[in-house]
Amino acid sequence: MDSRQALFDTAQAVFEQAAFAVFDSPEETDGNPPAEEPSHFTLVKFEGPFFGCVVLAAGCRLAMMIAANMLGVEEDDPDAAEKTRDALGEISNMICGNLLPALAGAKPEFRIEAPEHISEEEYRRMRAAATPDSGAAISFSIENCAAELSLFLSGSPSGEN
Amino acid sequence: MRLNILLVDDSLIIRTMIARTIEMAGIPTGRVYHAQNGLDALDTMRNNWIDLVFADINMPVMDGVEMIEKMAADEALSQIPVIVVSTEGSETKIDRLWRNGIRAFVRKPFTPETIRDAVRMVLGEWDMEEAGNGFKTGAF
Repeated sequence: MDSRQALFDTAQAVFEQAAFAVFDSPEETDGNPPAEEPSHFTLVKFEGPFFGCVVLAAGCRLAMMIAANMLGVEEDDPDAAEKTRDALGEISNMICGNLLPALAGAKPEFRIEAPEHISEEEYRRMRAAATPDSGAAISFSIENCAAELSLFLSGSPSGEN
Repeated sequence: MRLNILLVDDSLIIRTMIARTIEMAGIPTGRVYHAQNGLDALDTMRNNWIDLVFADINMPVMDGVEMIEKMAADEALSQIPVIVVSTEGSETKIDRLWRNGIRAFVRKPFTPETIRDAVRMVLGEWDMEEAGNGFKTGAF
């Protein structure tokens, strides 16, 4: 499967099922500047037949929304505010865990590490160094909050690198 | 009959989600214990009566695979049913978990229905109307 399509399909399914968050359609966002830009950067490393990492970039409002929906509380609930990083970590972990079989098939085993939070500078550096052969990235928005999801690969799923 | 449940996951938000899902699914719970890794979970199981364990696989300190292996080797713990709730997507690894005695596997992200179905598969059918929100005790 095409890496970019796999990223999109996996992210869409995880956000919808885990956080009841639906991607905005292009018509909804066309011409409108996003209400917020990403400010939290969550990285999940994986290792197996190929290795690399997935990075989810999301803003505060989106993180609060996700945490609140996962917990089943209102967005202004202090419980949601406390768990935004945990929520982004778990969403990233679920995306990574569901993305790898989509890319590599159901048999290969991967070790997925605990989510870690990185700086925007580090994320931008990774994005700048990436080549079309070393991963894929998508941008999307949820309730007009912009987000990005990137896959950085070291060695391709087909073993070409 | 109310079930004492142990939730094993290094993420508090996931433990909270599972607890909430169990409640939404109408599964009658007694005490709900939390553990952040397999080692804490084994300690909780040795010191409390646990009817059902929900466990993640990828955790620090002791992962779910090692916890399940240690449970299988311990006569006092080997009968406690384990439902694995994980992002794990490798059929090879999941097959190994089944061989180690897990009773159900739920892939994250999950819905209340998948959790309810897994509990039903492990503990048997229950009559929601008869018990209000409870299990038939015949499952035990």
